[in-house]
Amino acid sequence: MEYVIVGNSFAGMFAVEAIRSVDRDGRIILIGDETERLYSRALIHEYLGGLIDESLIYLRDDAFYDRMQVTLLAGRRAEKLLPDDHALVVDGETIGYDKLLLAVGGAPFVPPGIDGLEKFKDSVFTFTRLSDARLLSELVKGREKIVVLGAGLIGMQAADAFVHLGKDVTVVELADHVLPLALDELAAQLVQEEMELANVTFHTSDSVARLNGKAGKLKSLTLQSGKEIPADLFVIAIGVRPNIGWLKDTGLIVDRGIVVDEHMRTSLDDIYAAGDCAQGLELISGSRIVLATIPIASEQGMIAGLNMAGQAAEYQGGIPLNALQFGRLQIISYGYVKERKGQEVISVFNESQSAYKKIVLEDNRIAGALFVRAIDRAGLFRYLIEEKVDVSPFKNVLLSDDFGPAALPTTIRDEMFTTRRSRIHRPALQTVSPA
Amino acid sequence: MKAVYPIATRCIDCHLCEIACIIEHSQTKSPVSAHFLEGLQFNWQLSRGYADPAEAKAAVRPSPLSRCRVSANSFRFISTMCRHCEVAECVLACKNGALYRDASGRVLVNEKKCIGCWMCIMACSYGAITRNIDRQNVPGVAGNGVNHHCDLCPNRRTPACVYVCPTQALAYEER
Amino acid sequence: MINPLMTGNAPAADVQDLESLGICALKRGQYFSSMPEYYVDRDQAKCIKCLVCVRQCPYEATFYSAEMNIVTNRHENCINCRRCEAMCPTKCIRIKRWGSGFRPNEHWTEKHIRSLYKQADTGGVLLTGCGNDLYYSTYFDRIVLDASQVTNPSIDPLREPMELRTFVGRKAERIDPSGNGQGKPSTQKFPNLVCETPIIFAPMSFGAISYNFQEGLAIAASEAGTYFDTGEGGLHPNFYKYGKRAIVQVASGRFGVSADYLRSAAAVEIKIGQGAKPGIGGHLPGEKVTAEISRTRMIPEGSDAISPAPQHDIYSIEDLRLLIYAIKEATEYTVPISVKIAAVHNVAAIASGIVRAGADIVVIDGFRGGTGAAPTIIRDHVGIPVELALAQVDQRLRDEGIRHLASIIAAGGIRNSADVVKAIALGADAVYIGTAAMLAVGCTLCQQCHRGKCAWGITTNRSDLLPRLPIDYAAERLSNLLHAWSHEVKEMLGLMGLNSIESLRGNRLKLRAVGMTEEESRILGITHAGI
Repeated sequence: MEYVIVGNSFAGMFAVEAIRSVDRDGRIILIGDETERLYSRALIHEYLGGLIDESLIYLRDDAFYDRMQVTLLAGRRAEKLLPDDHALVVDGETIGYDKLLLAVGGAPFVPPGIDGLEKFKDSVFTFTRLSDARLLSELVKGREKIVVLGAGLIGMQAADAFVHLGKDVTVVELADHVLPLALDELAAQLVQEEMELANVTFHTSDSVARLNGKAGKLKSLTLQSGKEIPADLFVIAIGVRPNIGWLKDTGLIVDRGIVVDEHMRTSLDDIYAAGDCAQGLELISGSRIVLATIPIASEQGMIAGLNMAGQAAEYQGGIPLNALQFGRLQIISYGYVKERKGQEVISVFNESQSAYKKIVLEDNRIAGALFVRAIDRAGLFRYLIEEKVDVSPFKNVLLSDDFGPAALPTTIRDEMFTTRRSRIHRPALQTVSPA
Repeated sequence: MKAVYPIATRCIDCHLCEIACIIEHSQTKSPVSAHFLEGLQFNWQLSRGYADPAEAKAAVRPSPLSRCRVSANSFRFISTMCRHCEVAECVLACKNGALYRDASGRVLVNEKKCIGCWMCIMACSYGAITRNIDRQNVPGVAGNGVNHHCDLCPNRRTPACVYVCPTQALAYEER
Repeated sequence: MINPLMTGNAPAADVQDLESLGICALKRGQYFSSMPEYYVDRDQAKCIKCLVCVRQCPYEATFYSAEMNIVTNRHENCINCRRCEAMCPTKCIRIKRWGSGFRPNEHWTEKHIRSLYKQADTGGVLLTGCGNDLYYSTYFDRIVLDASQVTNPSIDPLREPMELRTFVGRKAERIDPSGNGQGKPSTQKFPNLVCETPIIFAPMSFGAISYNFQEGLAIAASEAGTYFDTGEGGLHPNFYKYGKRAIVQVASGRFGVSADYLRSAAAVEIKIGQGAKPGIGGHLPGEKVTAEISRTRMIPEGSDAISPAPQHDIYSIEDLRLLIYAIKEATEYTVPISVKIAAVHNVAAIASGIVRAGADIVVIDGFRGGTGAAPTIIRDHVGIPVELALAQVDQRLRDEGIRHLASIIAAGGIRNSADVVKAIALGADAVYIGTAAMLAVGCTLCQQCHRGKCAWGITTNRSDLLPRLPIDYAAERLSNLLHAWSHEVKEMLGLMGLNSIESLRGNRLKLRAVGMTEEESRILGITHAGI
């Protein structure tokens, strides 16, 4: 059996481990366009900011590929997919596959319509790879005024990194508050205030229109609102899009990302997708959405690997989830924390502690949960959301400090703690040869 | 693989399991010094109102952290700890692979590698992980610490919590 | 933290006010009534602030001060149940007497003074649990047993079988060997309890005791081949499966008495009185009446369950006879009917009347008998010792030639297997153990049973306290107790040269008195030692 995996990050890595847990003989080829040792994309900001030692960002040891008997093609880019031939073109070379996993992740999105990006290209960066971090860490030595476009997770983490490097940081965001997808207005306010304590300046409900400077040196940016702000380095961090452009005209059904079923199968035979490029089931809305987070990518990679190796593992579906820290604020959020009409909200805010807990309910089921600083046991809410538990019997204790398994109905509590079986992977009893 | 399973109907909310866990994981194995001289951590029982471990530590008495935890609600009690899930959500969420499964099947953390990002706390549907702020691998981040969860007492035949429970409300068995 | 449904016997309202100030202020002459009786002595160097004691104390006598980082106590709430001492992992707690007290006065003891203060405070009747704790002569302690030396040699229980099996119930007047033409004697047989050991669990009602403890008693009784008694609380539906090991009570409140109840049992006991509170009825304080108890006793939740003093349909011995035979009819004469009385004046005459009324078993409950709740003054001053009552009842029935018509069960403060042997030698067929059974499962005799906050899970049905006595622990320990005592009884029989309980019953010759007056010896029917 020839397994080919495109993408050398979380999804690909867990797929390799999953395949090997079932099949020690099949050949695995792993193609990644970076030459770096297998590293965690989530830690490049801490690395840039000098917060962590480089040794802490690598996901596995050097012997990982040998141990897993994987042929690694590093620094190689998959250019074309030939589904009818069961083959892939990688830097001109054709590689055949019996099972293919597309774990190609996302690419940073650069918005159109900003004037001057080409002119000042030595001062404009996106920040999604370790190579970006290495480059920036050299470059930033001579720069002082950093402007980050986008106050989503990547933008805010980038800003945080530059703060730790002692730079003057400004963040520009189109939405009316920072972290618009992960947080609600109150939590965003807390984060913004915390960052402002570190002298970060925010311009919300705004965007960058034009870059200004002389002789190729960036001096300032003009915002949509008309304000002009000084800048000598411009980081674009408004988001990533699934890296699927190269899959056009292959017949693969894509939407925002590659659409997958509960076995991580795409619309093409023997082709699977997982991770930031895949669009799988989101449990709260019931529709398929790209959820670009590590736990989802890892789980999808694992499930894809199992299915590729003949096990009929089912992906139960995921929800948006985030764990972030800015300053003193540790934050965990699940689902959709900005309530809509018809949804019920319960929350508690301890101002002196900056501790905030909020639950959004719909039909007595949790649709969103947000925790700022009070993050102990937050994971129980993941269970309640993903298992669609009716919380009305214990709604009044959800936000208490004491909330724990004792508050849950006996059947749920027993289901959780009388077994080691995993909730997220309920394998079928027999292996099924995929169609 | 044997793991610890709570029998909630037998729990009397005494918390001796937590105390035994603290003593077993201490350096001196002495109850008094284990509780006062070794850890400067956050004790969740007394941390009401303090969301941040570091602040709680300063305000409340310092005390080491237990890996199992008794939860109480009206008249129902249960002590829970890491189940060493067959497919571990925390391992799938770990940002840098610090969480892993060892040869015996236990889910463990490499305390030198953990950066305290708390993705595991987010991911663990059973609420089994807490923040150990005694150890920090990223000192520049406020309240940093490392993952802290049940390790099934590798130096004991029977985990300390199981051994000490006065009503045998914790079972150590294969299921 | 414990979040009690009920507050139990809370201190008087005045005292609660005091707590809101955090200090003990004095009100309306209450100078010493809220003075602590006990002092919780803590070795602070060993206290690891684990808070186990704080959580385990249902009387709110222990608390943690986060500001001071210290575990300390409201000593005035401590009633010396010693739960904290037992559970403390570093054993740093010691419960001591408070220490300071009144000038020594043999007549007005501290206990007298404090009780009087409380009555002056509240105008109420003081309640308590357990049995009479005052100094009265315990005759068991002044009776010694014979042993065989040279003449009538002893029997080695390891080599010879010792017959502990006891039949409790009515016996035929004589064995009729004439046969019924089928090779079997034609002696008339009456329903009897078959006890593999002459020790039976005393009546303790569900409500006075916990569900877990009662099930433990039922299981241990089943395993040992003896019986337990439901007391006046009825039989919980889940315990009908133990029905054939149960003696069910029909008391003056008739709690839980239904047709099924009577038919499920091994014996039915009509309770006229109990040793702890002769002449008055049972009392289960409202705080202890939970949903389960309400269902079993068929009374409203939270209401006091007070049994009337007399059974209101028994106003004469003829009435008793009617009731006995009504129950015999209802049970179709398949089970023995017992009548339980407290040991009081003229107990012999009363017992004689009861036997003639048709009872198959007479239970004599002495004044050391325990209770879940009784007025202290009654518990401590009413009734007589079971040893004296027993001896007189046995002798009287023999003198009247009716001893075979009923078995006698002695109850009230049986503390060990020697007491068992002595009681049987004084005339009992079997004994009931109540307090001893509680001690077996962890009781410390703190005498707060009436408050429904038993820290050991024995005399409470509060959901947070019940798990403290796991049913399997209770059953195991009670089995151990029965096993140990039965073994000791066998040893004592053997050393007396006897090999069966039958040979011991009423065998006063095996007893001697030590330090008794002539009159006492005469009443007991035993000779002084040395003769």
